[in-house]
Amino acid sequence: MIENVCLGQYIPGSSILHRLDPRIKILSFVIFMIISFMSGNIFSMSILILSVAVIILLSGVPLKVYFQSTKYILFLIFLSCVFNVFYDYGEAVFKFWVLTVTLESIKNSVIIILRVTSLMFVSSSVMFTTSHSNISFAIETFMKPLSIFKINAQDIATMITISLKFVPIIFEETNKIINAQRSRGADLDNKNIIKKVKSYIPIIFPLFFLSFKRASDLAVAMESRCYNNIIKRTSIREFKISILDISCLIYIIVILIGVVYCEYLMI
Amino acid sequence: MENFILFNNVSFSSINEYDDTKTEILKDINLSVGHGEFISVVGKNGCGKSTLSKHFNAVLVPTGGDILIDGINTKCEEKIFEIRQKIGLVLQNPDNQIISGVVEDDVAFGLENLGINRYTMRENVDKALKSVGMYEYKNSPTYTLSGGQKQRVAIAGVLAMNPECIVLDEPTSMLDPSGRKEVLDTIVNLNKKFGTTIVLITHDMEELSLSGRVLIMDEGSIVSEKTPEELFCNSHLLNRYGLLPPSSIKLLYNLENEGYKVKLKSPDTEICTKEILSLLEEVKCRR
Repeated sequence: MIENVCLGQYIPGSSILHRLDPRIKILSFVIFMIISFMSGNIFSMSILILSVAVIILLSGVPLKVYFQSTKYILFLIFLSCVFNVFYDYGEAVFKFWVLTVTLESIKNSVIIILRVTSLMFVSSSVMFTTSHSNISFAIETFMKPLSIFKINAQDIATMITISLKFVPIIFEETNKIINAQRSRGADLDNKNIIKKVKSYIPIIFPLFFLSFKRASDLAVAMESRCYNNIIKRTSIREFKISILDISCLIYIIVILIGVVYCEYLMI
Repeated sequence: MENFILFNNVSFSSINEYDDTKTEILKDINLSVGHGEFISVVGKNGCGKSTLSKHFNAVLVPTGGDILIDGINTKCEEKIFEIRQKIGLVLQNPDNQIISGVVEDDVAFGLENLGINRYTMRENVDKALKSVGMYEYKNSPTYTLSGGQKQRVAIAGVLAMNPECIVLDEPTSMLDPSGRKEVLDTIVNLNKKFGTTIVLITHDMEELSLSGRVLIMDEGSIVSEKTPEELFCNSHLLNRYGLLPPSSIKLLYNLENEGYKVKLKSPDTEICTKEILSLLEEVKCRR
């Protein structure tokens, strides 16, 4: 089962992270985002990495799954950072033809890789341990103030739940279409980039067509199960802030203070 | 038998917005279904079966005639939730009708929409999951389930709202044989044990034999109404609407064409087996 987990799917379990309130998880994640973009020196970086390790441990999901589900994005980040190394500023350590590698650029690349990777892992840990309806509940809670601007938080939350749910389905469907077009002789492995892009047109069109069909079916299914904006929706799950949730918030705030101290107050 | 569902001269036409042409999809349909009945609807592709299914719970409203569900007209917009609670609709593709990523949450979706309190919801969801045999999976993500299991979850989602009738639009056509058996067993069980009225729209002749009454649709109207036994014995009707009988009955038809005297044909495989065996005995004696 774990092999076909793709980006942002829920893995059932009963770890500490699974038991946390979804609102706390989302809030902590926002704070974590601030933390990861603040940390820039060796001390704050080590705090960051350590805290990510703790979070992964608490999620009860094996590290392998994290790498597997984020491998394409990680590859992109890595690639962009490799280019970043050759960005010429500061003191040169290494020169080859037109390429200059400086101490500054190496440092910057490493920082960016670590920041983005830790962000990816923490966001994955939230997605792995929170079911879609819980996420939508949390989003709904945070978006409630927006109702002043006549934005319906409930609709947006439902929209997010549905789009998350359809990620693996559309993914599977894409693979099916790719195989179907291959079996008809579509040349999808052409080295020529223009030809390759062109050869993906017969994949994208059926995919769009099928997605629209799905959407209209889904609308019928939702309508026949009384989806409406007249009655106020209730939830099958009960959410209460527990001691566990408060300790999680304290944990994340302690990290925040630690990073702020390392960045701005240490000499 | 009192009429739970009543179609009175129902017709439905859709208007093409580009060239203002009118296509008549349903023509003058009269239909009545009693409480606890099991009926099935067959017909070729594009004969209006799916459109008909959407009329039962007011997803579509007829352009002519009236549909009364337990005495309530589907055109009455204030009572639309009441109608949808009474009549559940299950579609062909299980993936397209599961809304949430976790089994339990999906089953609760309809109840959440109606603003029902948590305790009643819990009870109903558990009961619905148990009656389709998916209770052990209540915390599983839906993408890990097989097709048959997904379709059973979809049925549970409808069941949780305590409907009096379930309309199923080709629920097994995308499933493998074992998934199909799971779903059919569930449907039959619901009908027999809980007295749920079932309207099964299908392509499959073996599924027909489960029902008490078969409606044959062609080009938007109901052309014939038969019991499965009557239908299978009527080769003229079968040929005319392109219906293929189950293989056991097909064998009996072939034997009949060869000149053997076939006494009875039945959708029940065992009766057919007996008939074929007695024919074999006859042949043996003759030799």
